[in-house]
Order: sequence, then C-alpha cells, then structure tokens
Amino acid sequence: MITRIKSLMSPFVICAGLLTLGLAFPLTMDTAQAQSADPKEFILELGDRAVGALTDKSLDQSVRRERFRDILNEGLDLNYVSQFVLGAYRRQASEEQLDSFKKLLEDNIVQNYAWRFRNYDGQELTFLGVRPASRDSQIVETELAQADDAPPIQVDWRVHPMDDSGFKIIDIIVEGISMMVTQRDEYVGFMRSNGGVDALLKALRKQNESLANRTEG
Amino acid sequence: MTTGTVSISDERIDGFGLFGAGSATLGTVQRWLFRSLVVALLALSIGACATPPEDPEERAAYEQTNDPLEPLNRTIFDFNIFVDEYVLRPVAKAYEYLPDLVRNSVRNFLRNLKSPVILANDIMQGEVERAGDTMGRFMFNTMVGGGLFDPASDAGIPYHEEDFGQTLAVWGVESGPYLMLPILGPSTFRDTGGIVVDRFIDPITYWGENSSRDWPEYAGAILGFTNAIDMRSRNYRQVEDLQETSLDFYATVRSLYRQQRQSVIENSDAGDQPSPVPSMSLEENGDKIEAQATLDQ
Repeated sequence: MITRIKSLMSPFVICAGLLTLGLAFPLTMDTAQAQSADPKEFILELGDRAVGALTDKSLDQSVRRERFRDILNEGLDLNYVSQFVLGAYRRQASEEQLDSFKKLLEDNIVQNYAWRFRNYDGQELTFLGVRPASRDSQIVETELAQADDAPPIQVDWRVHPMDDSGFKIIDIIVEGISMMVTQRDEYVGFMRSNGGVDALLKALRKQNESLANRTEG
Repeated sequence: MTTGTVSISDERIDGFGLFGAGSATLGTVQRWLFRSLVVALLALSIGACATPPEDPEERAAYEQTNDPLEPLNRTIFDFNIFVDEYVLRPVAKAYEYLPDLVRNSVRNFLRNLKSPVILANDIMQGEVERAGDTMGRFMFNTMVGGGLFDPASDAGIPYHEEDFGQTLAVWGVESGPYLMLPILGPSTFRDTGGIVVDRFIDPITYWGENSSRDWPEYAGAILGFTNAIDMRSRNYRQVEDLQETSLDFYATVRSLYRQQRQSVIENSDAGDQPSPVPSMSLEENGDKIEAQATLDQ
C-alpha cells in the first residue's frame, strides 16, 4: 500500500489544507494577533509562520485539531462562508438553524482536514500578486511548489476586510476551482434532494461524529 | 477530455470520467457505447426531465445547476460509480505499483498521441502561440523523446489540452444542460458534441478503420481505457477523499466539472493571465447568487 504524500497534496485537498496551513498561527505567538494592513502581508505572514504549527508529525491529534480550530476562527470569515455555502437556502433558514449550521460547518472543516496534516510536507508558497475582485474583496495570488518536478499549483486567496480591522479569507481557489463554490454546490444539491436545511444539519452532525471517530482511531 | 484537461495539473479532479469524456480516441467499443447512449438518452430524456420546483429557493438552485436531466444523470452516475468500484478502481490501484518511469512513459505516450486533436483545436481557437507549442512539443517529444519522454516540458513548453468542446465555447456556444455520460463521465450537451467532433479529427480513428488488421480498430478503446487507468491512479486519494466526505457526491462532481471546464476554456493554465475566479457575493435578496459561470477577473 503506497500512501504517497504527493497524492495527499492533490490540489483539491490542498485547498483545504492551505486553509489551515495559511491560517496556522501558533497561539503561543502573542504577536500573531497583530492585524496586517494589507492582504499580501496577511496571507504571507500566515504562510510563513504556518508551516511548523500543524505539520509536526509527533503532534497529538487532539492538539492539532484544537490548534486548527483556533487558526480557522482567526483567518476564515466563517460568518460569511457559512451563509454563502447555503446558497439560496440561506433565506429559508431560521436564526437558530444558521447558528447550528455555522458550528457544524466549523466542526466539519476541523474534523475533515486537521488529521491530514500528519503527512504534510510544508511546500513553499510563493507570492505572485494581488488583484481587486468583486465588492471589497481582493485576490491574493500565490503559487505552491509541488514535490518532484510537477509544475506548481496556483492558489488564489480571496480575502475581504473586516469591520474592526485586518482581513479574513472568504475563499480559496485552486487552479480555478473555488472551494466555497464547490462546497455550496454540494450542500445545495444535498438539500434539494433530501429536504432542506434540517436534513443538512442532521447529515453534517452525523458525518462529524463519524469523522471524529475516525480521527481518534 | 474531461479528465485531465488541465495541463498544469491533470491530477486534479480527474478520475470521475472513467474514460475521460472527450477522450480524443473513440474506437469501436466506444462507438458502440456512444450509439447506444444516444438512443438511450433520447428514449429516457422524454420522461426523465426533472420538474422545476415551485419553491423559490429550490427553484433558484435548480436553475443554477442547469441540470434538467438530473434524475437520469444520477442514475447514470450510480452506474459509473459501480463500474469504477469493480473495474477501474482495482486496476488503478494495481497500476500504482508500477515504477514511476513506466507510468510517466505511459502518460507521455498518451499525451503525445493526442497532439493532432489538440493542435487542430488550438488552430480553430485562433491560439497561434499554443498551436506552435503543440506542434513543437509533438516533434520534439517524438524525435528526441521517442514519444515516451517529455523533453519539451523540461525545455519550458508545458503540455496543454484542447478539445472541440472548448473550441465551441470559445466560439460562443453555451454549455447547455449538464450530461452524465455512461462510462465517459461528466459532460454537457456542448462538450458531448465536442467528443464526437474530436473523434472525427483524430487520425487514430482513420488509422483504425483503414488497417487490415483487427486490433487497430480497438486502438481508440484501448487508449481510452489506459488513459482512464492512468488518471484514476494519479488521483486515487483525492477521489477516495471526496467520495468519502461529500454529502452529495453527484453534486460535487457536477460542480467540479463545471468549474474545471470554465477554467480550461479560459486557458488559465497558460499562466499568462489571472485565473478566473467565481463570483462570491451574497446578494441581499438571497436568490441572486451568481452562477459559477459568472466570473470576475
């Protein structure tokens, strides 16, 4: 059985991976809280400091998971994302449903991706440029080196400014594939054939439980 | 082809199309499959159209996915998953044990054989530079690399793919509804038409038909199958992961296919322009979220 890091590093997984990696501020760093004034710095600082935080192979899985969660909350605009991925069903959802969904989504991302960092080799992230996108968002373009001689992968980070200060990520686009659009299409597809928001909440709850068991094992 | 359309990294979402819709080479078996498919689609599609939902939220979702044949498509998708599980997946798994050298040679060989179709489409899209790249790659890799190696990439001319579905898109043809092809995988009406045209362009088709031997007639099918194995094997883990964690794998594949096609149509793999990104706005009235086809640069 050849479990190859290279295959783990596949772009789609990477985009999820980067989500953490990019956001991987070790909480021990007091200065990590300093808000970057421009999106380039925001992403690069994250990338630079990230590599060590989650990739330590000796790290206990539960520690990795909690670090991941902290980082996720710090770098991803979960409010925005959780509404976006509900698609048109957002309007149907009650406040309580939105609230539970947000929590479940957070858990789901954590459960789904934290464990993958056991085998992650920190590949180099190179800054390419920043360009404006729709509304007040901006795209930070980066390139991720790959193992072997494979061509680098283009990773675009969509960030938008937060009310207080600084930026947060609202999407990660790998080779033209948007993580959030993919997630939204999956959830909307599910809700359409399974009975709306409540069905989704139930399914997510169930999946989170089984993922939690898997990572324990 | 659907699978592996992107030159930069075909290790992306490939492996969903078992043979890669758009596989430049359709042999007898595939031709037969294709004919049966068209008949089956015509017969089934009459009764299989999903009724547009009444509820506004569901309606918006329905229109956005542009998949009126969804019930039929889902059935075909289940069939493809079945074939994948019992044929493609085990073979792809075994294929992984081959040395890298062998597998890379297989891929280089398959890619080199696609050159005529890619070149034709480069030209039809008016992409002079890319046509030159394809031409140069073909000559260089054939003469220096013997078709089994890819010295052109090392020399800075990376591989790219084009197919007639993309050419049609460049000419302004809309994708049309989503279509799940048996064996061949995700497609759209436009891209399915593209597969047929690419088959007519491909010299391998004529070589197979004109040969006095029997086996060349199956060359297309053999190449298609090998290609599918290669792709599936290279994307083994991603496919497993996605399949395991997606709540609606069909919808995930549909979304990935759409986005990936959009990306290759824009030739964002050329590297000389920003890749398009989907619009991500939360409109106040909720149901106005732009379809993923809307791109802002």
